[in-house]
Amino acid sequence: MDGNRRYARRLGKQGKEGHLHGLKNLLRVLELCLRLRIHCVTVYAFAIENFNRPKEEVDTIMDLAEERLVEIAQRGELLDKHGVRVNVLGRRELLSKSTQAAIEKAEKMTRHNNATILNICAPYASQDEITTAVESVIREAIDTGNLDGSTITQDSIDSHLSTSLAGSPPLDIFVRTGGDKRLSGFLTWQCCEHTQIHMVDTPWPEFGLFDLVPIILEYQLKVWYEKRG
Amino acid sequence: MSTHWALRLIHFLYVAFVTIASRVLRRKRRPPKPLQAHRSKIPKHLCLNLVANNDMPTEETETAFLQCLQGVAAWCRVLGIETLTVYDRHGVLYGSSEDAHRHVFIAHEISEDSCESELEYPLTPPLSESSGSRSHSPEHATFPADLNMITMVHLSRLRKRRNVAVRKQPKRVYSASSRLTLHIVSRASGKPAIVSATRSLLRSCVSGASMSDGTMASKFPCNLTVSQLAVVLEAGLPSPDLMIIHHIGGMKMPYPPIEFHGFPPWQNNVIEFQCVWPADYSVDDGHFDPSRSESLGTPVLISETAFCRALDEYSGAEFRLGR
Repeated sequence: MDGNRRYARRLGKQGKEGHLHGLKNLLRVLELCLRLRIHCVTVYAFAIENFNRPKEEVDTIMDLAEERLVEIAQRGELLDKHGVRVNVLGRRELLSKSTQAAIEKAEKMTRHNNATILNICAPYASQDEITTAVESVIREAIDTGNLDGSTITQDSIDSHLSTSLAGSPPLDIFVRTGGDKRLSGFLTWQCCEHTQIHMVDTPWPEFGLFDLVPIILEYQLKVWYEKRG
Repeated sequence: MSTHWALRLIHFLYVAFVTIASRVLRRKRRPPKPLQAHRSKIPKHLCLNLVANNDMPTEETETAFLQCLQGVAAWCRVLGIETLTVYDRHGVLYGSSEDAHRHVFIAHEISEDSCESELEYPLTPPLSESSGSRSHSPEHATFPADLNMITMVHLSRLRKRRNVAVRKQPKRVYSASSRLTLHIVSRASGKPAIVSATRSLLRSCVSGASMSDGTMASKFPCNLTVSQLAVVLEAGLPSPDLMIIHHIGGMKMPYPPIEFHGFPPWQNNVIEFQCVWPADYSVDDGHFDPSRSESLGTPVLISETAFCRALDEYSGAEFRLGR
């Protein structure tokens, strides 16, 4: 969800104000995805590196995140209608106590839903996720007495990633808005193969149906070509 | 049933629109800057991700990969890019490392008339030894891993040409040295390398945690950090700055989205990537239009035009690094 600050500056506003537009658009796009029957959506809300930003901006983002998580949790009707389960992935211990409490509330309210998964990565970094998965796999091997490493495989590391632990299926499509052509530490393990990568110039607050439809059509073409062999 | 046909119609219209738009854009597209033109930034470490066509015979694929590698290595030398990583999923170049060496270093020596060259193989046995030439993480890493890659370092010193009275050529200006480090990697350098590091760490933890009576310490003794894992995985293969993805089989309309084809995920953290689209080929390069169906059976080599366009895009990119 890149491009919030540039979008705001284009409107003559302060960069941090773009995050409010971005979070509003998240709910709009999530509803689009639900209508398109997309089972799992993972969004990159905040990178661990983003703590390098000015304190005022970080505080603004954290306050907005807390408000929106509460709002998401309160939208029980929409979430229940589509069976959405909210997971917040990443190093939540780096967040404020009040934000952590809002996260726990949102997760608890939607835990019973199973049809659709919304993963919100905040604060998150792929290398941190891979490192945590590696450590978990080793811990499991020691606990189960498999000290020769035979149970350590790509699949076992994959199953210990935070997205897998949240019940997410393999990643089919990766979209970055805002025009930059890099992953910036987002889902690098999950998207390194068999994932279509789309880099869209549209800034996140403006991303909508007209941007999403070609992406879905491209995915459908891939599936058809693969079926035809 | 009507939904199925409606979807097919939407796809037909979409493909038609994309095809027309692509041809219009190609005509309007400005040529990239020449290779040696000034750019605000040049990558220090370039990665070439070569994608094979499944229908192409292996020998043809290998030849095309080697030719692409030779071309890009030469351009890297011109620009002073000192590190080049070449990746292909199935390890075609890893298996033909001697040919890669010949194409990249020997061909360069012959063309530049250099008389001295030093070939170094940091962390890797010489090519003349067994075919399992592999790169390992440094010995000081507490848990070394098998990175399944080959690294070659070439340092050439150009001979200073003496002035000859009968020849009326200007004196050449030589650089002191021309250094190129080449990493040859495949999918095995990615997720399997992380598995190798994990197993190595397990062995390290087990040997460190064993009690004097042979029992295991009850508490897991190893707390792994990102920087510890980075030492193991990046010492042999640091993260490139720019990745150029090139399909040697060409691409049919509508061109498929970018994929990384198994490129090492740890290293793909902040790489700027560019895909070589058929519209990037200049007619002046002498390459045929690979979007024409009759030409899809012949390998498509990466052109200097496409390479320059990727550099232009890279020099215009903004790196905010979280800020």
